[in-house]
Amino acid sequence: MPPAARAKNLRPRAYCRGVSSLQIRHPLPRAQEAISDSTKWTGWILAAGGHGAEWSAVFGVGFEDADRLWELIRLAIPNAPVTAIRDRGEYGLVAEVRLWLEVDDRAATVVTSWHLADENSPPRLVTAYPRP
Amino acid sequence: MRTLPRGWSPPTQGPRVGVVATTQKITAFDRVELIERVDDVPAGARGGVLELRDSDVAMVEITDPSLEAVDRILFVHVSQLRSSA
Repeated sequence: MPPAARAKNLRPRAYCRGVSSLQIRHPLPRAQEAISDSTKWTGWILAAGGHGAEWSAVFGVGFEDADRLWELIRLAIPNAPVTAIRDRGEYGLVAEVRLWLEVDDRAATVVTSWHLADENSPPRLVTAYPRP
Repeated sequence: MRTLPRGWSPPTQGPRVGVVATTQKITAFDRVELIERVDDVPAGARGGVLELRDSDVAMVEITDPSLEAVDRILFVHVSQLRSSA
């Protein structure tokens, strides 16, 4: 692996332990099966202690919008390229995907992070927040 | 065996001031602070617990300092965390 790639922990396909099909500039493997935990939306993503203020400021959305926000992400993710990968050793891989979302009459980039535990697990949404 | 006057009990040790053990329960979505450096993230970095996993490992998102999205997500033993306001 080139030193630059090693330093940034950006691993080409052959080096991604357990998730060999994960590559930058390609969609997440098994993106159509992506999953999300509803408690993460209410406990963190849309919560005041997490990214609630950002979602409210950029899109004017709150807890009541969790289902439709997830639906927008779920529909967008199969066509969106992975923009960064980090190897977390025994815990698997974390991948970043940036999406352009339109909610009502507002639009912005939403940064999403996904956990890929192993080859047999679908990507799991870890966090999501809009960039103004 | 020496007997004590009725109503008395053997002396007990007083509180050990300065040797206080604290047990801290970290739960999902708590705001936390790193006690020590983890990977490239320095001690004192703050964030939230996204998940608690087996063997007391927490998936944490660091929000302060601001990092790239994938660098924010760490897997940290709870002993490396403390609650923050």
